[in-house]
Amino acid sequence: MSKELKIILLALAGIFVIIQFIPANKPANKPSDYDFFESNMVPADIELMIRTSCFDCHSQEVKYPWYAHIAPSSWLVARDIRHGRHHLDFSKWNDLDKRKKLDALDEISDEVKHGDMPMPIYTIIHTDAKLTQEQRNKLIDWADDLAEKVFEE
Amino acid sequence: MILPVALMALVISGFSYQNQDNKFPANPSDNLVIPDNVNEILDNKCFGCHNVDAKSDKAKEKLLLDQLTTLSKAKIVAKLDDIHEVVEKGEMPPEKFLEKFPDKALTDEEATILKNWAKSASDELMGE
Repeated sequence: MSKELKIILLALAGIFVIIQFIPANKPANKPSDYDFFESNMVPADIELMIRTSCFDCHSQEVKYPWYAHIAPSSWLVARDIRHGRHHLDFSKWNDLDKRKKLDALDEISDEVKHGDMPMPIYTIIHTDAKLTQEQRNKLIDWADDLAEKVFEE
Repeated sequence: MILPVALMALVISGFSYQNQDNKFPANPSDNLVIPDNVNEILDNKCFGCHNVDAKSDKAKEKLLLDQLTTLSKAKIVAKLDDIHEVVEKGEMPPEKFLEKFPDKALTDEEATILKNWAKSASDELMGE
């Protein structure tokens, strides 16, 4: 190994160690008694889809993977969860007023329809979170149905 | 070779935008009737991108004005809230688009008309 390469590798290793001290500020899970699925009578197959494909960013039941504890991937994970929860947090669904629920359900329907959610970068690693077209259609129909119910409430 | 082709594409895309058929206004439905003054603004400033035949997938995914009145009441409320929000925040029409077509910017008066309509129509549907 040439001297230059050794220096570069050592420098990279040094940077890697140093960035571990920059906190990612991973959002904590704040569990509550509210159960989105029970409260909205969500069918089991839909519940499984939402838990598998959405909950790691859109709930207070995030399961952190090992790389969520190592910089720089920890920063990306923390950012995605913060953004995800900001847009929609199933665990805090009950805090939304009727209008916000309709907005969220419309968003769910559209994002799933157009393949924007789950995010393609997420399903590369979490292959089980990938949705087939049939699953997408089911999820869209469910969201649209729930929107009708919320509207009529 | 690439430059002239790119220029040509730009010219054609600009041309096709200007040449878009005017299919708006959408049919009024029981769920939503769009007043003429609002229709005019939507037609002039928004419809070019937010219609089924438009080129921008992103714009089409977010809102199709030619189908707005055909949606369920629940969805119309959500779309109206979105319209209110993006106009309020000045996010639409997008800045990049306005660089090319500055005449598509909403005047203050138009923005106010749009926002008031979106809010009142949404409130009415919600029974508020």
